[in-house]
Amino acid sequence: MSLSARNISKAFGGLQALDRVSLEVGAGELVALLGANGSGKSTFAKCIAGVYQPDGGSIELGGLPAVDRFLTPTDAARAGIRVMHQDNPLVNSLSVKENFGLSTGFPGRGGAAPIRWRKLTRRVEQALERYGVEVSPEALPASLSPSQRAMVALAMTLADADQGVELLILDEVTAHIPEGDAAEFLAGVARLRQVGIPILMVTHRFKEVLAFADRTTVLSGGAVVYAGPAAELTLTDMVSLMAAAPPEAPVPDVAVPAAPAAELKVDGGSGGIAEIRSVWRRDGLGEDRERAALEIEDLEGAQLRRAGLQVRAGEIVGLTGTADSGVHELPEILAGAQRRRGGTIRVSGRELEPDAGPVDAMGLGIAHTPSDRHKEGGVMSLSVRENITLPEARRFWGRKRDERKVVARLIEALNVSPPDPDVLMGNLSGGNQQKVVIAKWLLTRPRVLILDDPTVGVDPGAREQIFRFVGEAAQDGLAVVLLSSEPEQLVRHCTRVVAISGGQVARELNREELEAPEALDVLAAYGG
Amino acid sequence: MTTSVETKVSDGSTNPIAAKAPNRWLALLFRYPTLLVLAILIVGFSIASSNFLTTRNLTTLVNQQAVVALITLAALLPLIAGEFDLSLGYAAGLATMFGAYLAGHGWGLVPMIVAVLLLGVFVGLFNSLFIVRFKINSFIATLGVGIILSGGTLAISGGEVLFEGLPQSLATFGRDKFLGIALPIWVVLLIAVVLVYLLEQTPFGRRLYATGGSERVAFLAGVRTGRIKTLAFVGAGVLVGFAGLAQLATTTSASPTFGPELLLPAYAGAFLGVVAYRPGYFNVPGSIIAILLIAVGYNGLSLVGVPFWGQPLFNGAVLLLSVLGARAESRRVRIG
Repeated sequence: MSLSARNISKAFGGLQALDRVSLEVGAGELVALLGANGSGKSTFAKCIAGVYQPDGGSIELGGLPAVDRFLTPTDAARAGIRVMHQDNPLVNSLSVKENFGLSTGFPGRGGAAPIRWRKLTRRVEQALERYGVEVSPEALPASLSPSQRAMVALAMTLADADQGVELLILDEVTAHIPEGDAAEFLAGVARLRQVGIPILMVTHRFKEVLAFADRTTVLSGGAVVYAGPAAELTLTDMVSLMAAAPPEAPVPDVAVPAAPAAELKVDGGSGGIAEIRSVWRRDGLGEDRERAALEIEDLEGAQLRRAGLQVRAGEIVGLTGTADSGVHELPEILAGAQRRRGGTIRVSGRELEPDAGPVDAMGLGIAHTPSDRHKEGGVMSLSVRENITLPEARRFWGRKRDERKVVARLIEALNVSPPDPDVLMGNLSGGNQQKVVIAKWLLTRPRVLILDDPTVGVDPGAREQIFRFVGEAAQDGLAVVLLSSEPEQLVRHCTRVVAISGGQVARELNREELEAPEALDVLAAYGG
Repeated sequence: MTTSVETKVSDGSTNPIAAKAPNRWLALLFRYPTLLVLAILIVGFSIASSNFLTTRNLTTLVNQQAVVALITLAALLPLIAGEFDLSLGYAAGLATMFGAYLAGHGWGLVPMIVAVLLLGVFVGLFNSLFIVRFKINSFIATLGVGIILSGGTLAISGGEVLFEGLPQSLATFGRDKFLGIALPIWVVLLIAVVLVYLLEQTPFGRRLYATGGSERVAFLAGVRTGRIKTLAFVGAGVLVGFAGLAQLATTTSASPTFGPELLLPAYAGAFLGVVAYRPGYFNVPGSIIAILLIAVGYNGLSLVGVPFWGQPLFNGAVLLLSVLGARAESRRVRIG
């Protein structure tokens, strides 16, 4: 039981997603595959599992002869590969044992013959016991804790592998599980090593790697930047490794602004923001709004407890915190999408009423790019043009030619590719979708811009463009709030960073503190 | 993360069809596949039956479409907003009966028209009360409202066909023609033009499509989605009111069984309309072409002597094949 993958390469279009990645997992070993979004870690897992077919390299499982690729996931499964995904595969309305039946087959003679329930129960009990899951086969998934649900899903993933599991891949399985539960679940996973199952854990959580992995491989830009014992790495090492440029493909220097945005020199004219300002001016809206500030006092939400935050114009203030820290309520409340329970929010002295909706928030000049682009960021079935001008539909009533001109300029300023206003939003890549969402909000002449994890699913090139643009916007007098789960990103782009824990501000790091080497450790400790 | 790579566009050729000039005709054809089918049917029926391509037959054919066209247009508005309105058929029945009832009780033409249209507004508000306010699935809410409306139809008609007291002017209006086309059809065309303007040129249209595309995104972008949906249902109600009046004008009577059977043809027209004019979106011109296509098929097949049960086979097949074809086509057009 083991995996030995050698020189796996995979390209999509012109983009080299994986460049000769080699990785080995021995029997009873837990290997972590670590990397930022877009580093290729998921692509690698999919290449091994037969979802993608690698362009080059070989895969050797246990005693089987090496193969170039698996043509389908079924082939990979037949060879003994089991994959557990981050999406919870349990049907909530069915009991644990019925869920098992769905995924591994109901015992019985088949056809219209009745299910042999007792046999199913016995089988499920055995499977749960084997993997140390203390859950009744009759339980409904909704009554289980997140870690129990994950364990049940894991037992289901492994249940039909009677002939032995050659490799278990955990593909970001803890992404949607609260931290404490995730640790509990991973402890259960770690026990599987005793049975000799080789485990490949794909993740971007450092702490999981430190606590549970035997060895770790770090990917950046599709190439291996580190492979070795997990114990020898510190949090800081991992963060800087993940941010490292891939060995043989140096990132062009425009992509790495060394100084934080606030310290960049003001060059007054060129660039996207100047374009957008000219759009406002031409539109008879005069100069952009006065420099503004965001003031939040004693904010109470479902999880937030008397949280306070002040952001001046020109600042990029980073926010970080775990999923249950309440930090993610902040953008929602500010955007008028969630009611707050108390506290005041002011933009340049004007108050956002407690029962404010998105229209009121927009009126105060608050713009918010949500982390879930597909559900909240853009209308995938409409064109780029219709998306960009959606909040401003009234302004362009009967002025289609104007609208086209404005949109064309925004597309150019933000480097949206393809530069076609009539492409459907759903046909753009993640990075370009994000640029469109940002263009949409900048057109509303915001004073406060809240970016909620703006680089999820965005490739490195587009990330840099987005941050460069945000930096310009801040210099232009915008107050920017950046939520991010990546400490490295916060350190690089923020004027200061506020860490939220238990619904309150737990720590604030100013620019000086962010420069210190331990800043990444501190942020990683508070963040996801 | 990998999805961004998968959907990556390799070069700038964004619209392969529009990009190549020689293919412009082909592109036009792809934009109007139903128009092509319509043309083929017209040519085919003209060859197969000498009675088909006559002014008399064609105008009669067109003149019969007023009511179903109006209900199709009514179906469009909630569909664009991402909702269903299953009460349309019942509402059309009630509107017709309500008009006849008022006329029978001595109401004049104008007050009657106003009252029927107000009934439409009321039905739309009633629907949106459950959908927008109480957040009930529109499929269920409008079904419930529709069934209640059918009760209303039975109550005011007493289960009888009403025909007494209808203003002579209404019947004249239903009968009179301009350029061979019945006046109600001209009204339908006028309404269609207004709707095209509303949907394509105004902020309302933009917001309606955005709400249907993603209610959450639209809401966050400052669209008052509840209000937009309410307007869509009220608009549908008013159009159903017009449908009721058209029915009264053309048949000069109101039957308690009229209405529900129009729901499915209307939806077939709206769905078939998606393949043309603005492919992939519910739209007015596409739906009008779809109604004509179905009507020509109906008329031609009966002239050629296809038995009565051939009709539904034809209509269903056209709907399924067009939508399948449109999906294949949209896959071709998509980039990346």
